Amino acid sequence: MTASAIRLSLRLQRFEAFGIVAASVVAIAGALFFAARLDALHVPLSCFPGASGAEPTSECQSLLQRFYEITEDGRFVLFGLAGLPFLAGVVLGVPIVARELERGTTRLSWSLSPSRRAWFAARTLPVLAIVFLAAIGLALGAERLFAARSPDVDMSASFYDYGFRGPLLAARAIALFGVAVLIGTILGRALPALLLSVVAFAAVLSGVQVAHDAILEREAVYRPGDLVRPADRGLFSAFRLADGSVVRADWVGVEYHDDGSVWIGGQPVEWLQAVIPGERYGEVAGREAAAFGLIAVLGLGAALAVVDRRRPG
Amino acid sequence: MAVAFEAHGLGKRYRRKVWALRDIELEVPEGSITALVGPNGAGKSTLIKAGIGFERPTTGRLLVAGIDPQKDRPAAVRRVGYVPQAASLYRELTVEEHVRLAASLRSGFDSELARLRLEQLDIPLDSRADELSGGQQAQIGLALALGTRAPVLLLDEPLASLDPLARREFLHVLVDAVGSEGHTALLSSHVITDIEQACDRLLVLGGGRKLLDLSIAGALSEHRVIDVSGGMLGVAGASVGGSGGRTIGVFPGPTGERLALLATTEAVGRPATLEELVLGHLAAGRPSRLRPLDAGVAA
Repeated sequence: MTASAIRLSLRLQRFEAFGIVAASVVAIAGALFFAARLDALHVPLSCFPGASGAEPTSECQSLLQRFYEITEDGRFVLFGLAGLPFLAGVVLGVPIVARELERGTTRLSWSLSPSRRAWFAARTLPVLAIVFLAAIGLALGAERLFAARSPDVDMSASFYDYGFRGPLLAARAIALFGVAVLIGTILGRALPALLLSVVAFAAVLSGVQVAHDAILEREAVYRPGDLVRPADRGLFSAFRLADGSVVRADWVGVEYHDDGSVWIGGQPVEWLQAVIPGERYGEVAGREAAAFGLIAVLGLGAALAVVDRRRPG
Repeated sequence: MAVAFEAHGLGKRYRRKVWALRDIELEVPEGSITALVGPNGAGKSTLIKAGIGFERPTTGRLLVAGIDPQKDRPAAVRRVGYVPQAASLYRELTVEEHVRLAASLRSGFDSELARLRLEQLDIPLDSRADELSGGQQAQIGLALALGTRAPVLLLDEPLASLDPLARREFLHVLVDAVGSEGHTALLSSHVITDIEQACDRLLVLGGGRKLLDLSIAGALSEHRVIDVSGGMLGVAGASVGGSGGRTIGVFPGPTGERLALLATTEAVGRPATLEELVLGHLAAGRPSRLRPLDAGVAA
């Protein structure tokens, strides 16, 4: 792929690309700005509620008030950080083939290019690179801002804000890009493809979530219900029966007694929570990111197959 | 005779079960400019698109410079310069960027040749495609096709939206390029009067079938026209004179008279123009539109 081909490919989507890049730069800069302001307060971890159990000092209260004001001010940046990767995926993915089919320019380009695969690669890869860089930048910006907002939490070992930060956010955006390219290629019309891509990706997102939760439920560990940590990912409630066996809470009828105990079948039982410990965050998020990466590859592969077979509009 | 474009038993049926092409047998000799003529829906575009692998034949096969586009589309595309019906240019790109795009997509693309052709026509290379006239856009399409230096040029009604002067200029460039570079061209068009000067062969399609495939000079010398509106009625297929000539078809003349196209070398009526020749064969290809005629043919 020549530099000229890359430049021309990007030129065909320069408005969308410029808009996404500019918005991403602003959002990332905003994230770094607010994160720096939060860091600059140097709020001691002992000031955060629940850290010591003691009543916060007046100095802590003053710092926390300022901390929460900045957090509130930066809330709009979080919307950008969470939404822009998806916007990049769909807005840059749909038109790559759909707009060419819609405007009939594929008749020219496919008659000039002996290999439609080479044409598809030349059109898709430069745009994919922009989506990738924007999504990674936004995901890391989100990671940084979330970490600054929760200095008492080790974000690398916590399911806090799962899916809205880090590589998983970027992988989701790239999966949406693959889905959008595929749907644009099939429909050959940009606006309907844009709408359908959003709907289809919502379904994909839900499907992956359900499938991954099913896997995680098999990997869950049980903690006493009152010992669950905020960094853990809670999956479902359960009870340990007198014979040591565990049943899910939604499978049994329970009696709640005035002393706070829970009874099943006339016997007291222990309340448990099935969780994925926060320490497994990196592994779990990485696995889900890989699944979305696979979806992106499948989407682009299917789009390539459609390009190879379809009429040029 | 070397053949640049050939079809054998070629048929194309779309999903609506409509045959766009049926049983097409043809051989386009190398170095010729063949006019592909027929009404809307005759199958002209389908035939040309099949030549560059944009349509898959339902039956038969088609070879472009000896290559079957269905079996080896990349090789077939390398041998074809294609000019689509609408110019199909990128409106965001300048003319120069189109040349660069073509060079990036097609190895061996002759950018200098394309630029030279465009400069000869005073088409500014720094203009955006959407700022140019329809005629200039069509010329860009042709210049890009010529820049491929492909042996076969397939032109899908590029004249349709051009004014008469732009049509002449387009055809002049085409004839010049074919003469100097040795291309073979298949040019589909509705505009019969212009192609007479540019083309040396005529292929008439109607209802998806081949109705006529001859050199233009030969076709004109073998057809004549008579006026059958004044009681001298003609019957399609009836014999004419004593040398085996026959009536091809009856069609309306420019002032409402009824004309019959005759396949004969005898000196009956007057010589047919190319337009009358095409109209007569199209009328023959659409018998349901003919009014029943009941008398013999004047010899």
